[in-house]
Amino acid sequence: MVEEICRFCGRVAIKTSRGYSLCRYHLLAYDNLHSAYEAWKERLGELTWGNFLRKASELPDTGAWVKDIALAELQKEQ
Amino acid sequence: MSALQSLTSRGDYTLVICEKPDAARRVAEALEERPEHYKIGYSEVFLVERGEKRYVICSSLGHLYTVADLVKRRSIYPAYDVEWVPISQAEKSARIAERIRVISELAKKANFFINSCDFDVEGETIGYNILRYACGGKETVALRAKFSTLTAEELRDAIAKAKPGLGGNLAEAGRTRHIVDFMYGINLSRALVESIVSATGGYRTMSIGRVQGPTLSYVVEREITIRNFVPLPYWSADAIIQKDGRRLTANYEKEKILQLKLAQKVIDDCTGKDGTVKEVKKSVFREPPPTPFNLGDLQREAYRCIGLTPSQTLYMAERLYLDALISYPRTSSQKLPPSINYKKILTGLTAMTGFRDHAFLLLSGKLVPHEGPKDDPAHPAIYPTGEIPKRSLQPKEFKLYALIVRRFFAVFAEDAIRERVAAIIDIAGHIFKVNGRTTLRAGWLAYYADFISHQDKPIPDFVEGEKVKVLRVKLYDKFEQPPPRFNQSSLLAKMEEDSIGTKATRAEIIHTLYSRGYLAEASMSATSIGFSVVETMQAHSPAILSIDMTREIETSLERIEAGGIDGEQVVERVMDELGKSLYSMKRAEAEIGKRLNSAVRSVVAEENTLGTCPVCKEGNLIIIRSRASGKRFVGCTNYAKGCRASAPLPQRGIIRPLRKACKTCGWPTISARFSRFPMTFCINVQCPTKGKKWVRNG
Ligand SMILES: [Zn+2]
Repeated sequence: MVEEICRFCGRVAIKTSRGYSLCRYHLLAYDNLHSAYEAWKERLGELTWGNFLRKASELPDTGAWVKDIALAELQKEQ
Repeated sequence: MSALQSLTSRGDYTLVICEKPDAARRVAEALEERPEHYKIGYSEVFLVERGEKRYVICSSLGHLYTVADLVKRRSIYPAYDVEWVPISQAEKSARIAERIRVISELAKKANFFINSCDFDVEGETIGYNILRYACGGKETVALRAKFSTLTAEELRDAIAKAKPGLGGNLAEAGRTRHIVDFMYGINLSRALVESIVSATGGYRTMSIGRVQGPTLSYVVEREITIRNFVPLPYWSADAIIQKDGRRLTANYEKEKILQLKLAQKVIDDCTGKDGTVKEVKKSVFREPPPTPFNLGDLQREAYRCIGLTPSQTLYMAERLYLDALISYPRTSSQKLPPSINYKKILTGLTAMTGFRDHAFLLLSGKLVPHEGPKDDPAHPAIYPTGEIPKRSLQPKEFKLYALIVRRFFAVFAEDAIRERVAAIIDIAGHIFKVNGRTTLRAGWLAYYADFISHQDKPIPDFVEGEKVKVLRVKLYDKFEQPPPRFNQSSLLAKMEEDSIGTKATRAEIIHTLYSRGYLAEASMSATSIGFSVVETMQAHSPAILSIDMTREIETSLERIEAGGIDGEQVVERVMDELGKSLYSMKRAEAEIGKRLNSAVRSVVAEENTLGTCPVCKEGNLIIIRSRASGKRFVGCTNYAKGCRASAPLPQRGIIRPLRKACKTCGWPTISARFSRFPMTFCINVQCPTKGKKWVRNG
C-alpha cells in the first residue's frame, strides 16, 4: 500500500477531504478555515465563499497552512 | 623542590576546595591580605596561615567529573552502563587532568577538608565528586562553608563556621539528575543520529533530552497554532472631543464590537451629535514596589530593559558575582533577610556618584524590603554587595549592574500612589470614555525610573452634566491576532512556570535548540527540523515531550534530597521507560531517518540563502563552500547566466542570514556568532559602513 501524503507539505496524510489528501496540520487548517467562514458571515453579514477566501488569504496574520488551503480553494472557485 | 612539594612538605593543613579560580583567590584574600601564591602549571593555589591554622586553597573549574557511558561507541544504544569519570577522560582536556592531579596531591597531606563550592545542588555535586574521587573518599568527613556573596567578611565567616556536611542527600540528588539527564540525552540523541546515518550514511549532530523535549514542544505547539490561525474581524470606535481648547480621544466603551451592523449603528447615531458628561470617576490606587530579583526575574527584566538574552545575563551576572559586586545569582529566592545588612550595602553604594543620592535617601528611613513569595533554601535574592567595582565594567555589564542596584533600591522604597480619572461621556445614548492617569507620589518609581516608563496622562477637569463638542466619530476595521511567538524571555518564563530544567540550565537549553537548527530567528519559529524531531518523539517517545514526566522526576529528586528514596530507584525507572521508546525507534529507524534528513536539507537550503541578489535582481545570494579551498563565500545563483556578485565571509563562527537589507547599500546583512555575543554586518565589501568596525549587537 502506498502511503498517502499531504498535498501541501508531504507529511503523512490522515484524511482525504474535498479531493485533498491532508496531514493533521493541514486538516486542522481546513477545518479552521471553514469555521472561520461561518464566524465571518455572522460578523460581517453577507459574504460569499470566494470573497472570504480572497480576503483571508491576503491578511498578514492568516496562518501559513490556512493560506495553503485558502489559495487552493480559491483556484477551485475560479 | 617543585612548587607543589614546597607547599605540601609541612603537611598539616586544611584543604579548601572552591568552585572557580576567582572564588579561590577571594577566599584566600579574605583570610589574609597577601596570601602566599603558588602557580602549579595552569592551577593557582594559595597558602594562608591564620593563628594556629594553615589553609591551602585550591579551585575546581566548575565540574571536573562528568557522567559517561562505559561503551564508548557513538553508534551503540541503549547505553545504560554509566559512571562518573574525569571530564578530561571524556573530552580530552589537559587543563582538567592537571587540575585533578594537583588537587589529589594536595589532598594527600591535608588533615581537614572544606567544601567551599557555591552553596546549591550543583556546587554540592561538584564538591562531592572532587572529595570522593580526587581526594580519595573524603566526601563524608569534609566540612561545608556556606556563603551567598564573595565579600571578604562573609567568606571569613563561612570558613570559620564551616560545619559537617548535609549528609550527602543534596549531592545524591544532584548526581542522580546528571545520570538521568545523561541517559535520556545520550540514548534518544543517538537514536536520532543513527536514524540519519542509516537513511543517508551521513552524520549530523542531533539531540533531544528531558529538558530540551518539552521546551521544543512549547515552541512547536505555538507554531502550529499560529500557522493554523484565521483572524476574525471586529471593529472599534472612538470620538475626538474638544475641551478647553484641547482635542481629546474618547474611546467607545466596548473595546471590540463584534458585528459590523452594530458598529455602523454607533457611528450613524453619533455623527453630528454633541456629548454630555455623565459621570467623572476618580480612583486612587497604590502600586507596590517590585520584589527582589531571583535569576528568572533578572533574566526577564534584563531582556526587557537592556536586550540581553537569558544566557548573556547569566554569564554577566556570574562575572559580577566573581567580582564580589553582587550576591550569588543562581537563586530562586525573592527574599532579602536582614542578615545581609541593608545599611552596610546602602552605605557602600553612597560611594558611587550615580547611586549616592538615592542611597542616602533610603538610609534616612526605615528599611523593610518588599519581598516576593518565592524562596530558596540556599541563597537570598540577588542584591548588590555595596563594594565598588575595581575594574571598569563594559557598558552592558554596567547597565545590568545598575539594574540590580536600582531594583535593590526600589524594593525598600514606598508604594507609588497614582490616580486614574475617567470622564464618561454620553453621545446619542452611546458611552465613550476619556481616560487619564497621574502620579500623586512617585515612591519606588523614582528609584527605578531608568528601567520603567510610567508616563502620566493628565486630562482637564470635567464636570457632570457639562456639554462637550464632538469633532468626529470614527470606526476602525480590525482583526484578531494570533498568539505571539515565544522570545527568549517568554520561553524562559514558561519553563520556569512549568518547572522545566533548573535555574542554572534553562538559558543554555534555549541556546542549544538554536544551535541544533531547531529554532530560527529572534522571534522563535520552529524550523522543519524542530517539527520533525517533535513528530518523531510524538510517535516513539511521547513522554520526553511532556512536562508530566519531568515533573515526576523532579519530585523524585526532591525525595532523594529529603532522604526518602535513593538515586538508584529513580534511575531504574528511567531505564524501564527509555527501553520502550528506544525499541520503537530502532524498528522505525530508516523511516525516521528519511524524514529528519529531508527536514535538515530544507533548513540548510534556507539558512544558506541570504536574499535576492542586489546586482542582477533575479538570482539569490547564497553561501557557497569552495571545493578547492574549503572556504566559504557568497555567490549569486545566477552565476551561470553571468552574474558575478560575490562577497567574502568570516571563516569561523555560525552565520545566519538576518533577512534584512543593509540600510546603506541594500545588500543582505548577516549575523556571525563567534562567542556568546553575535556580530551583525553587511556582507558587501564596497559598503560605506565597512570603514567602521563590525557592529556588536550583543
Ligand atoms: Zn500538510
